[in-house]
Amino acid sequence: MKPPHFENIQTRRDFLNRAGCGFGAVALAALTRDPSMMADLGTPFGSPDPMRAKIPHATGKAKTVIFLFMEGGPSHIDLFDPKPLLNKLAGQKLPDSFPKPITAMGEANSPLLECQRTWKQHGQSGLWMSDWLPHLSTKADELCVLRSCISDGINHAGGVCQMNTGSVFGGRPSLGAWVSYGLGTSNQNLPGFVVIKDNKNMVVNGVRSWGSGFMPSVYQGTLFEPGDEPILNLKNPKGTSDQRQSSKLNFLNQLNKAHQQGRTSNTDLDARIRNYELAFRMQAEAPEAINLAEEDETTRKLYGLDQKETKTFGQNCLLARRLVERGVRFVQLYHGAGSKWDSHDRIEPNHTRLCKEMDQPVTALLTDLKQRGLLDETLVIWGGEFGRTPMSEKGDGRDHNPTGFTMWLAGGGVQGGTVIGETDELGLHAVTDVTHVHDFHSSILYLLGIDHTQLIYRYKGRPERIDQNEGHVLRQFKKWS
Amino acid sequence: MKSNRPHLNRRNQKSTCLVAILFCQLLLKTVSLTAAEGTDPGTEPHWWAIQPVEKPQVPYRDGDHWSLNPVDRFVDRKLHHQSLKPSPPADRVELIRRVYFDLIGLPPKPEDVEKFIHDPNPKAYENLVEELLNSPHYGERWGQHWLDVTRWAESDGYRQDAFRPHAWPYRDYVIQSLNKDKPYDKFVREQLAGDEMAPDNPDVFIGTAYLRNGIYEYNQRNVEMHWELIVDELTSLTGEAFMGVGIGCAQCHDHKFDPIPQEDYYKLKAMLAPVSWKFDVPLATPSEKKKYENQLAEWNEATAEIRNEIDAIVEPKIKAKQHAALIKFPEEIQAIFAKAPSDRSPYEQQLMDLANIQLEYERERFNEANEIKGENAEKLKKLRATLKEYDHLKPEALTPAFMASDVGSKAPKVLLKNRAGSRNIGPGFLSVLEPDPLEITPPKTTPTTGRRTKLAEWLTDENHPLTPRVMVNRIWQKHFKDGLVTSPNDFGHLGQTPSHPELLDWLAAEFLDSGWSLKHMHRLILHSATYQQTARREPQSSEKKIDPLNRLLWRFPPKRLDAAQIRDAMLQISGELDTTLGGKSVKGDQPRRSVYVRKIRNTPDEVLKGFDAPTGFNSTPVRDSTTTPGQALLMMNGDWILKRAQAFAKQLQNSHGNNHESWIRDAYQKCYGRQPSASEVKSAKDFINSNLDGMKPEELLSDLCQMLFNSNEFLYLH
Repeated sequence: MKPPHFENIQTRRDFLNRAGCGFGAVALAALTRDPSMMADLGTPFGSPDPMRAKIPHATGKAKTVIFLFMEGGPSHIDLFDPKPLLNKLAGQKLPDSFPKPITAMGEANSPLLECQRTWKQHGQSGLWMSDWLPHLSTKADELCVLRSCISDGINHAGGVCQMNTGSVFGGRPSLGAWVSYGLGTSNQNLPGFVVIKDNKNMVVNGVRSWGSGFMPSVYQGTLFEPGDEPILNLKNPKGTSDQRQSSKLNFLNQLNKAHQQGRTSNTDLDARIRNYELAFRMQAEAPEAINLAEEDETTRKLYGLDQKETKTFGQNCLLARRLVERGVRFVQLYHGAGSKWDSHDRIEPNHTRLCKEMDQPVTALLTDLKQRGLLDETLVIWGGEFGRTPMSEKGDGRDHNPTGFTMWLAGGGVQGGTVIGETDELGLHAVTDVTHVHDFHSSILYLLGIDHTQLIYRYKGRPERIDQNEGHVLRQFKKWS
Repeated sequence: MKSNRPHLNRRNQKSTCLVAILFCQLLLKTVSLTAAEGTDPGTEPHWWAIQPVEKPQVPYRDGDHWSLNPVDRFVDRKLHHQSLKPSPPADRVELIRRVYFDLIGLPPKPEDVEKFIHDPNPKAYENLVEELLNSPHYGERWGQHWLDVTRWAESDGYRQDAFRPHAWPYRDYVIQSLNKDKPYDKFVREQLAGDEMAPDNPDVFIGTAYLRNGIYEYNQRNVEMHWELIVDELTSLTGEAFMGVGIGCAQCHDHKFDPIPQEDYYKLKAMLAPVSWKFDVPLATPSEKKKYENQLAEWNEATAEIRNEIDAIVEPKIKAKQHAALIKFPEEIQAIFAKAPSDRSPYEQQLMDLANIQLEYERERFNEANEIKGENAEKLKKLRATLKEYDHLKPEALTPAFMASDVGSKAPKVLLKNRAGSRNIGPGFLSVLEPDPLEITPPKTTPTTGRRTKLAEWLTDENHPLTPRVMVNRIWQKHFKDGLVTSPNDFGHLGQTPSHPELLDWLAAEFLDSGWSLKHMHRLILHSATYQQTARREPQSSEKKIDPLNRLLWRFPPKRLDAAQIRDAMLQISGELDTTLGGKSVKGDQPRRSVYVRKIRNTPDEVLKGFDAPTGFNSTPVRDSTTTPGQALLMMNGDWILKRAQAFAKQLQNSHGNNHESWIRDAYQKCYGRQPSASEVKSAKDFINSNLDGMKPEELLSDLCQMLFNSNEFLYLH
């Protein structure tokens, strides 16, 4: 059989012509929450406007996502996953009872490196966190710590690519693109998916870390640069006044309106005309959205804008809050862009510095979202592309560990103060509730009210899903809802 | 809805298609079929695409005064059947703009338009088509389409995303092949097995770059997984590119919709599994090679002593670096390095070759100045200086051929692992077409398995039902925006059925009769009344109702220009286009045609990416045509566009002095291929004379040019 919307319905008019009931169907689907009718909501061509806000498949508390990506791979066994045995065996080789992994730098046979941290339980829940996180530990009861993550990417390119797109191979859409595709955005004057880095270095794999892969580029992330031109080409050309710019746009509009005569059936032409209007509104709204001068002193202090170490990431966290407040669907903040968390040697100074930069701002973000009543609908995700090995590298560092690592979630309907899964006694391999990146992605969609098995994009004849048909929603998440 | 999903090996995952069944069920609930759709494959006893190609009778209808050639008769029949009528012919202004962009990717110049609209020759249009097909720019335009299908790019694609300085000859090979109208069967054979066909002819064996244009990860230590990904990617690509079969589905399980058992995937994989990237083959003929070697021998002899001394200093350091790289690999890989070459299995040799790239990289990036210190540094400096004195003897290095061959005449094993266990699968074809097992004898002339030659011969056998159908559909698609089959890489049940199945078969048969000539197919299509219809007609109510997607072609489909057309047109109009053919790629700020702009997977050119140029990770037979605010910002505020507008304005002033009306007339003519109306001239004059911000007309002229570039009439063929 060949169902009708396997065809690319390319214009709104076509859609209305063919669907007959058009918007009515959308409304009905929303009312009845009939999943079979909802399945087409996330189609680029079947919907009147690809970025229009869409109704999720099911009730999920989370409406927006802030993904705090610690690029390079933070050490789970020095932050969230204490391993007393590690210090007992420090200096020895990995016992034979542990399956030997292939590691990026070939450190499978290197001696185990002790953890120099002091560990304590925090909050009502008694969540374990190390002394590298003095601020975040006050939020223990907000966090759901997932200790049993695994990935197929043994090095940064594959790991970052998989954590973002589900595949170690390039070419697939990123999580933010899937969410934009599935849910659209509620503020058309800002991009639906925004990415912010903490330094000038490029994230591994470049722009495709937030790319739309095989989906149309309307779903790709937009990189916000620091400064007064957050979006590429946002500002008028140098020397062009607003008046001149709008005179140009008026003239363009005149050209386009004249051309449109007798061609109204081609709705692409109209879409392009409206896009210039949208771009113009973005020029006005985006600088406002990122204008931190509007924030009061208390808030600025909360995020650590008054300290050298925390200023940059504090600003980014504050920006993230401003963006989700304004309806941006998915914000991804890179901390340590360019694999700064990658600590093959000298992990002590490396992680001390990076934790210091990140700890207070992230904590402030949780506090701030909560006090504004936004935490319930904002899912905050923290983690990197993998963790680090219990084995040492170069004497005082740790190699990549994709076979067992920690990510945590907060807000967005997640039950705080919980731990899911565990790694073996050295933190090398995940052993219970093993959560592959595919499961992780499926679970995030679940929290957003999206059934990951039904969010489908048809590409080259195949129904594609974020999880490549492999993911399962964590059973604990299902229990909560 | 619960699915009884099969348990799959995670590390062996790919798109499984079971979910598609569920998906189809969902979609069935909202069926509203229209006449434009083809037959329903679900009710067909056979898979249409694998039926033999037989040339159907060209339909004839009394009262058909529209058709110009057989193509039209097929189109007319379908239209007539639905009581629809084709559109009037496009006028010459519309037609020349369409055919220029279509065949050479550039707009016609004012003088070309002038000549064509006043050409009294009744064959004026046919002559124009011929002229463009003979233009070297034809290959640049149509080569790009093939490069999209074969996911060509010039970088590794992972973290380092290193530039591939020798990937460009394949791009030129494709362009030249099309310009020469190389028969498509030969073109296919060269790309799959040029190394076996003509190991001494660089113009042929460079085609095998097809086999290694995929991505590569410079620091991947999991060598087995890395190699498996590479071979799997190549297998899926080969199924899609040549056969239009989404065989990737069958990597993990039997195809759920097409009669492709899982084993077929592994049979195809076994055809390609012996592949090996070659690093020591120069892009040269035997005589060039000989000349080079002779000269090199002379230099070698003269410098032997000096080089020995240099090596004594440098080599131990490099060896140490290479050893450090080696021990980062798993022990099994290190063990392969330790084996005698004769003890390595073909598969082990492949793994070693792949790992060895990382060792060679240590040599490549070895920095003498940093690594050699003290006394040795001084000594080395002197030695290098002495060595330099012999440079006049040293031949110019030959370009390494970015090509592939086989690991040897013995093939590695290909294992199908599933719940039933692990089986060794030999090479073979789609069992639905060729159930018998294959015997392939390695050729005597090359150290290869002969498998790829066999595959290429099978694919280009004139009885192959898929190869010609898939290619004529690609040609049709690029002329009309949509293919007769709108899923050009999937002719299976997950793809679309043809809108005009008999026309597709007739074209496929013509393609074979013409000796696989692409240019013959272009002529057939371009000479048709179907192609020459106007796009400038609104749909009538019957058309909206019966065929809103215009699959029956009641008018020529309006379309947006693609990234390369937009960028190249701006360069030509601004007078800056450098039409040099071929050669090394350039950065995007150079005024060369877009097909020559360096294609770095992770950092694509801003303008090209902005208008949906593919990044080269997947085969991309259909480019997206999106409308995004980012494009509006790029075109309004982007530096590159502003510079083109400024150059354009300058050129207008140089040609027409201070004559405002001439500026405007020339600008419209160049951008739109037509003269402006009196009222358009007036409003353009008003615009440049607005004295805005105290600016003079010549300053505002550049704004006018920029807005013409931004306008829909420039960006769309409609």
